Amino acid sequence: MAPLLSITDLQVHFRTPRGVSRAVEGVSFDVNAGETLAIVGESGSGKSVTSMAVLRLLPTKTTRVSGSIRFEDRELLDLSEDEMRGIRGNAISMIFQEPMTALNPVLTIGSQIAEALMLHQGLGKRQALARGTEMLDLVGIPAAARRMSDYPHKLSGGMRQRVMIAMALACEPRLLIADEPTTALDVSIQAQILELMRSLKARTGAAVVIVTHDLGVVAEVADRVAVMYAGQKIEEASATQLFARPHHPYTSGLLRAMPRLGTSLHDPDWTLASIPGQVPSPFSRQEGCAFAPRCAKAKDVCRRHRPALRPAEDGHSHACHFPDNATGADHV
Amino acid sequence: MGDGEVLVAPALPDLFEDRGRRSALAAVLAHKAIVIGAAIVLVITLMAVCAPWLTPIDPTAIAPLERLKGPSLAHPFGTDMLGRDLFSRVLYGARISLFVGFVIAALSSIIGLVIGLVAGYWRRLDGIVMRLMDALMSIPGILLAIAFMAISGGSMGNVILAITIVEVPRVARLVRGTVLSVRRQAYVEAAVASGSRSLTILLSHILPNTIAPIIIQATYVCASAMLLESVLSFIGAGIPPSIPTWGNIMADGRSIWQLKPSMIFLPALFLSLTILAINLVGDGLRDLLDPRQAGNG
Amino acid sequence: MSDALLCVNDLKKRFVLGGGILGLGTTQEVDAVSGVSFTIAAGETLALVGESGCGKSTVGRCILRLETPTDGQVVLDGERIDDLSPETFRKLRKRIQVVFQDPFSSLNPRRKIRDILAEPLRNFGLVRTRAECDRKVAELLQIVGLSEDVAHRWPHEFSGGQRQRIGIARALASDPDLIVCDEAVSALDVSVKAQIVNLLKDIQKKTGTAFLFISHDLAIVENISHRVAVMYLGKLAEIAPREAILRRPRHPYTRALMSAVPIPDPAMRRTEPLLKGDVPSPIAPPSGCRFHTRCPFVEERCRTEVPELRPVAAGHLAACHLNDLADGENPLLSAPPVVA
Repeated sequence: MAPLLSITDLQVHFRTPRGVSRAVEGVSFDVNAGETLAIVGESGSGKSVTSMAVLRLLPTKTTRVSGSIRFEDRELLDLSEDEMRGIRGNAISMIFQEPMTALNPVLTIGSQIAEALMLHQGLGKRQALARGTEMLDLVGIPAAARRMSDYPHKLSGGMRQRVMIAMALACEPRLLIADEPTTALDVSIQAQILELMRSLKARTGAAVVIVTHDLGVVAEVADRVAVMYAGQKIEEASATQLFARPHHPYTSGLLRAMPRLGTSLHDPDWTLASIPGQVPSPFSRQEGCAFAPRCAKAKDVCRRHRPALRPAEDGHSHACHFPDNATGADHV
Repeated sequence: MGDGEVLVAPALPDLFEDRGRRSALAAVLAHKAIVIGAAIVLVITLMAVCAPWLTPIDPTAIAPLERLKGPSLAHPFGTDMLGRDLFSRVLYGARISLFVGFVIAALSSIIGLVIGLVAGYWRRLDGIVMRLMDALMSIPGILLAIAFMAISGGSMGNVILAITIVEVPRVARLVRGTVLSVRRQAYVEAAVASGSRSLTILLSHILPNTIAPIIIQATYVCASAMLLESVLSFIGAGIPPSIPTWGNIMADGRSIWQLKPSMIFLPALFLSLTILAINLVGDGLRDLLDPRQAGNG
Repeated sequence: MSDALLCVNDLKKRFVLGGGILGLGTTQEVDAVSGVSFTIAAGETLALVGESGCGKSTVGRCILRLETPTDGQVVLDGERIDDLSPETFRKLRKRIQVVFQDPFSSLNPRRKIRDILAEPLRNFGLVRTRAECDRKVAELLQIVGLSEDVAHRWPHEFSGGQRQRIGIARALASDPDLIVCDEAVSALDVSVKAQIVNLLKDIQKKTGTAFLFISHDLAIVENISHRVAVMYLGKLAEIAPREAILRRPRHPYTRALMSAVPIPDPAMRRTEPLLKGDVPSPIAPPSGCRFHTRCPFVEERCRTEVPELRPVAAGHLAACHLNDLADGENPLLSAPPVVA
């Protein structure tokens, strides 16, 4: 079966007053129907830009995009703006990090949900409102019918994110892109929202791309994970494989740097592992592997030649000359 | 490890030509509105400054025999009902208009800056000061200026004073708004924690942030002051009619506009052109200096 | 406690919202902090943990006098400092410093790193000459792991982690007794977060500075604190040594916070039920125990009677009625531990 979304050799560059920012540098991945793919990376890794590029939400004047983004056998990069509008919020919808900025403060929740339904699904006003109430109910908002006539500022952060999810799912999209959906939320609310996303995915069958910096979030929801660093995909694997046997030293480093509650109880001298150095600037393109300056295993070849992505039969690919935990290690 | 095993990724193309970081001057020069606006202002300013060399004729010299002449080599714009040379009057008028505009822009920026800084930083003074500013702003500028002129009498100094009173509250408001948003920045609180005194914080951390908005606002104040000065002169409540200003020339032309429409048309053209040019510079500077207005970076 | 470096007694902070013109119109009052007491010993790290809006940052800001407390006392080395005049307090700021959350807004973009670090040095009269100042700046940069030529560069040339190092250097300039770290690592990337946590620990080992480490992230807090205080809606729910709180939390809210921390392992699933609902608005906090609207163990008494913060074990205080029960009947003691 062909993948639902297929991104090939995506490159995104921005022109800024500080020079050209090479935000995404040749990224490829597929999303299959019904699966959850997590794109993980730190600030400047290009993960958010990649997800924005799919919906063509980047400013046209200062951005250049090359490569291919195919969704259900249509090349999104070739569609007209009108055709794109028919896809956004309909076949593909998006949830943002900060729900307050994504909701219009002067319109009621109800009218904002209903608008999308009337536009994309051709429902009448009354049907749209009824369906909207149903959606709010589905995402666990108490007294949904009453909430429909509330304005966004009356809701808490967690409730707003639920409303965003309801709106995103209202038109039964085949693909949902969630950009840091829980980053602005408190831990107890974050857990609730992740739980909700899991249960809704099981019910609706929509594929989900979740963009996050938090491996804890990845572990909770993802089927497959793509790790990005400095605009490149450096590793991709199923969630279980990635957490059990990370291949790229950056992935291993990230996993070690993730604090786990209770570790200090077993080892009083425990210190948190960290990755030395800083994320490279997107304004300069360096030779060799982007992670080499921070990598303990880096050798001369790493600094000279950028490693290509090595596909593997089990779907666990990586871009490293000297990978960790690789079976049949070709060079140790 | 053999080199044959190394899988090297293909090189990626550049989607943009990387010109690196642009200098501030290059950014200004790349902005068409600023370049055109500044060029026009510069030409008119040069004409005003060089008026004695551009025309040998005294703008106030009366020549009864030369009354209401059409354009000629000696009088490119013709003459008015007293035979005074219109070209030289318009040039000398530019001096007054530009002088009034620039002086008022400078004065109201400085006074507005001080008031805005004080009101924004010392919250106890804020209520009183800003209510006073609001009260001034609630009276239409032209009426306030006419009222002031009626009390104080027509002179250039009083015109400058009257219009400054009208413009100061706008600048003060803007500065206060900037101060209020900057003082919440963490680096201002960090300065407090670092033991800096209030005055130091105000002058070295907050003041620099108000400069860009003030420069932008000053261009608008300058344009609006020039217009207001012309209106005051035109209705006879401004600079004494003996001094040639664009407003006074138009006022003189009022009674004979059917005979000589160029007496109104020419000063008005210069006035509009100057104001347009100054506004172009202001809009351009706002695009460049105000990060909220700037394009995606 | 007399050996405490800092003592906060029944601290209260009330904010007035929406004053209207000339004080007319309706006003609302919010009790951001309603009676918080704790102590910090010299060289100790106390973590103050809670969700957004619980008042944890306001406590820190009251200690730093970036807000004026409405009521209560702040005592440093046995002397009250909350009622000092602004000028007297300004001189005392040398002893209490701060590291802010946002590494981008906490450094003035118009100042070079040298001038940023020189500000406290000059204000507190710690350097006399320019050369002395440069030497001290270089020393501070070295402590936080930056090279000394950084001094002549601008903040925008640095990444978030490097900027936070500069912020820490600024806090260290006056050799303070206490540094309030207000979500100091929350905005940083995972790989850099660990660097900064370890840097803070190293600094404490060398200088003996005490930290008030304000954070929402228990997993990070565990890596840096000696004692942990948990806040909920303006009140302390629990305060205890780190190990005690991790092994056996004595407040259902602490327990819930702990179990909500995501586990970076897809093979592990959480077993605890999630906290229901949202944090209530601090404008109208619930009656009785403020946590009762979300508490899985709620009883009739919790709705009406405010639980006192009482000792439940050595150095361990908690504000929950469950701790009145005999040990065998207390569900907090019989439930399986959250962290193994």
